[in-house]
Amino acid sequence: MRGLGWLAYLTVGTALLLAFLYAPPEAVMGEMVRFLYFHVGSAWVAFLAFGITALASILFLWQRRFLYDQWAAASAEIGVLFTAITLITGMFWARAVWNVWWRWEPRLTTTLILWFIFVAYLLIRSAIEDRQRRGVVAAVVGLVGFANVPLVYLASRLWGGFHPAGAHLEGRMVVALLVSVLAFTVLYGYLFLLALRVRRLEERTHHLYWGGDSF
Amino acid sequence: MSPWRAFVLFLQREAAIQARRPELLAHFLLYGFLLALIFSLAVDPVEKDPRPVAAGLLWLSYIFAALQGFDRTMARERAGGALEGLRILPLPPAALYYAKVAAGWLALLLAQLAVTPLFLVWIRWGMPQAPGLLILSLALGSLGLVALVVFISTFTSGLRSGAGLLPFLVLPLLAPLVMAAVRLTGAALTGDLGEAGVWLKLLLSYDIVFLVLLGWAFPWALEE
Amino acid sequence: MTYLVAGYLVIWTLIFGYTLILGRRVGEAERRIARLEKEGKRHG
Repeated sequence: MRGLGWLAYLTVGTALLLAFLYAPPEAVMGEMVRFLYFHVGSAWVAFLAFGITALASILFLWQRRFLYDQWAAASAEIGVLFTAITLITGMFWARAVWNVWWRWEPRLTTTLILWFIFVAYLLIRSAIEDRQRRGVVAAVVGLVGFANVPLVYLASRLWGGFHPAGAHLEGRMVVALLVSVLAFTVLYGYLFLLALRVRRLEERTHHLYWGGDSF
Repeated sequence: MSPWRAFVLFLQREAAIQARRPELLAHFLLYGFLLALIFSLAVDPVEKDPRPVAAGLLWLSYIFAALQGFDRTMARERAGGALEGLRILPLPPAALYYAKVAAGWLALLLAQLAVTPLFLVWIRWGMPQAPGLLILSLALGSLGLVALVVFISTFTSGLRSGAGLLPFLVLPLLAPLVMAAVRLTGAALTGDLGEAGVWLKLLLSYDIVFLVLLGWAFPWALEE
Repeated sequence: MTYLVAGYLVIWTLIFGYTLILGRRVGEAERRIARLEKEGKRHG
């Protein structure tokens, strides 16, 4: 656990060095291409996290084991954080390259709506005390939210699109990008275990204090 | 008992409740009128031209009316123990869901019939260019809106600290419907039908996806 | 370049902040568990 933490910050540090010192500026975006590495990395982690939340929600509804509910909750929290990071890096990049902070563009709109859905997901989790009911409600909200995403994407695509579908990357940039994605994945693994541990410990304090298992 | 028969029974129950005390319709009407009034004043119809945002304001009124109306009625049903009683009946919960959606949809359509013309007068629009399409867009948009709000308010009504959570859950899920319904209603108002077909299809797919998905998931919303 | 630095500052504040919050919650829970186990159950 502690080892994974060090590994996470080591790979992230390496990715940071590669992004700033090793990778060259890009022809069109110039230095701003350095946002790309962490933007793509955090976007990947955000979708990975929400995917795991959806998967854990299905498993929970199916088998009713609270371990899955804890997975879903921990992963959703990290997903919200990394979606926020994706949006923020995207906004800074947009300000520098498009000269505006925001555009109502399919990927931006979809990502923002996704963020709001999972913020609501976390809100509703904190509003329910009974853990049986909380697990069920959260799982259904998570799954319905997930099903909504393709519709949001479709709707906002009809409004017009600007998001770069791909950039022309040369060798060193590809290396930096791959290392960033790897680093963020390791970081996700570490944060996920940490968030899970917090939940297990807090459940235990509750158990010790109140007795029973009504967490 | 066949699911269809159960649906008819539940629908009769909703009708009886609303006939005795038309709470939903009253909320939709009053909220719709009030918001239409406040929005008309907020955009200052004399000085500026509010027409480009008319469709958006109209839909905002209906969204908030739906949130408010269902928040109240569901809380009442939950507090009276009615939902718990309905839940333990040996009838398909989906039939209850579709009956609630049908009743709420009808009430919202009735309210829109009264509010929409008055709103168009207040913002000095006059006749919509494509009245048929306007009615169609209001009907299809309301169907998806009611389908979602009935489901989520059933959830939140069962939570002790769930008051006020309804909009946080509904509004992000409503985003695609808002985009499609506002564009379609706008097209009906201005008569600029170039993109209407695309938005109509999107609105229809939203309605179908949410009606099917939420009908299937309704037992979990009812669960205590 | 200003945007680049500002953007990176914001994201690292968020990530480190979240890690710190989790760490504090772990520490707090561990302290409470230790105390509760010493005192015995208060209820039930």
